[in-house]
Amino acid sequence: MSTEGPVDLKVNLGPLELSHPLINASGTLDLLETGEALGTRGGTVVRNPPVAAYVPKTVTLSPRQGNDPPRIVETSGGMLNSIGLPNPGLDAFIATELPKLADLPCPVILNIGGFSPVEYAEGAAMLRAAVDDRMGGDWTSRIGLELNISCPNVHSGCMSIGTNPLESRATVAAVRESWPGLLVVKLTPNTDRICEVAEAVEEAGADALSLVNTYKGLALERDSLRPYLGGMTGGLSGPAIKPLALWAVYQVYNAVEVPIVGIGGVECVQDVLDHIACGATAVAVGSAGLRDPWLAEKLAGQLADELQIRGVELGKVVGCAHL
Amino acid sequence: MPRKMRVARAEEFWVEALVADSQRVKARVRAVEKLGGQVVIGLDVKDWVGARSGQFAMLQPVRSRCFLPRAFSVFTGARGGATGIVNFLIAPVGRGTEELAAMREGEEVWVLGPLGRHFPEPPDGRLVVVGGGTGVAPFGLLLESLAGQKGGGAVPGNGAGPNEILLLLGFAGEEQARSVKWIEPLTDAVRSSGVGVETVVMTEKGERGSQGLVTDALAERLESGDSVFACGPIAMCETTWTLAQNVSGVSTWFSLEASMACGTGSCQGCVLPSAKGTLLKVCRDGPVFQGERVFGGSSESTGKAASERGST
Repeated sequence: MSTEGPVDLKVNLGPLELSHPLINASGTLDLLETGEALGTRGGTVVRNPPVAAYVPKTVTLSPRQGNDPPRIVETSGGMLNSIGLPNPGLDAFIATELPKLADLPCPVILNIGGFSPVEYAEGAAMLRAAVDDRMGGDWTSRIGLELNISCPNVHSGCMSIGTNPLESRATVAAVRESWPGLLVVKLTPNTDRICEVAEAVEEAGADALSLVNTYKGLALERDSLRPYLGGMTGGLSGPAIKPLALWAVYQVYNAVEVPIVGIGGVECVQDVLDHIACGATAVAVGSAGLRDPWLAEKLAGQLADELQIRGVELGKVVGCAHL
Repeated sequence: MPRKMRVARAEEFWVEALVADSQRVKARVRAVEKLGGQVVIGLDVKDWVGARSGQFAMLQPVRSRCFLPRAFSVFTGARGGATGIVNFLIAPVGRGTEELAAMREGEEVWVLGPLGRHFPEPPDGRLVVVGGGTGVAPFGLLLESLAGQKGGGAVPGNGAGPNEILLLLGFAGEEQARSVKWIEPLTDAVRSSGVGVETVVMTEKGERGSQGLVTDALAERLESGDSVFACGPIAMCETTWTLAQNVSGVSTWFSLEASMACGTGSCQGCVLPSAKGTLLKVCRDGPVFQGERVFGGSSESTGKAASERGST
């Protein structure tokens, strides 16, 4: 019972201590862009991030323009996206964005994608050198790394690695050699082997898993009845996938010991509790955050209220659906 | 040389737009006016910081069956106007716009805004405004601000501004043209502030104004040295750009449309190809673009993919 005093929402992901469990899913909140778009209040967003840890968009070794438009379409209970990992490439990211991210007042979980295990390892080594250079000393309580081996919107690498336990293991093992900090691996649900992949990356040294990335899907243009999105298929997100995501978290919780970041269909505090009950230690707000950049922090406040009302500690909720 | 100066000037104002104090609030619908199929909804937006012509807001009913908000240009009420109400012109063309068009007084809407880059301060000389369909929306604020330069109330401008405005408004038919009712008092106000305004209304079959496309009128009236602000269907924008290339010293700005999820640069969903082949984010690089930036290359695929699919 924690009915006296403020509710303790602190959680740990490896060496990162988060003030509460709510973070963002990579690619759904660009704090720096949003900050500029919103002006003065945006500045507040950067000075006082609405997430307990900030996960920027995936970066790859080479710059990518991303997929042709149209890139997004609303669907029943969610949206399909085919963004295709547009990013300036790691060199430019390290030069222009990393310094700003390092100055954020919350922990940052960098995110990289790639097309082979070697590329991930190279990217991680570059980031390690850059972070060493920028921050010096022991920065592992401030900066983590997430491996996106699950993007469904590029033609090779990424999801084709994350659906294969052997390749996933090789990728994580290669990155582990050069990355001393928190290592999160983001899993795809587009496989019937998610537990095998989870076990393989845990064995290879992952400190945490995040799941799920989007579900591959298709939307048609209403007049021509041809695929609507420029990249043809897209990744489905939103409340439509919440039961699927919960099932993935539930299964993977049984398969591994490392903490899980639950992602998928989070819109309200009940969704947060559901993910935690299925086994998530932290919960990421994804596409619902697109309509409200402050959603994660609002949900954290509501989570505290909810725990107080229920008279239960956060730690007791984790995995309680399995009892 | 004048063109270059205008560019610099535009950039200045765009920078200013980026320090707006935008927010996401629940706003109550205070007025609903049906204009044929279209609707103007007036929202009581708490602490609205003021918008400039071309800026937009993401709107979604608090009770919505849609997942995402939709992007709309602010129509009138730069600072919430004298009544404190910010108006949006809505054409129901899909699930999201239908929900908004069906809203009643007293219901609530989430508003995130104002967002995006606005039209520059209108340069000296003659300003030609080309608005097609709901593309007239951003020009409500433009006229408000031009009237407000003498009258006060709207966001004030700095420059001497245009000495003459030619407002070319094109509509599919009489029903769509009913938004002119909202434009007329604003043109009157601009006139009484001492700037000449001529309004030309075109409808495809001529039920109202003259028969033809708004770009037919533009072809007839565009003169050397004009500045053109345009918003409307992508075909209209492309024709406007092409016409402007045939007349010397014409500068163009376009407010373009794309489906958006966030409106704040997070998702990168609303991109359209630039003249150079790179992709521009409509929400953050626009929605107002200089013509050269979008249409300056081969006009083949320019802007098409994103712009024909706006708020549904």
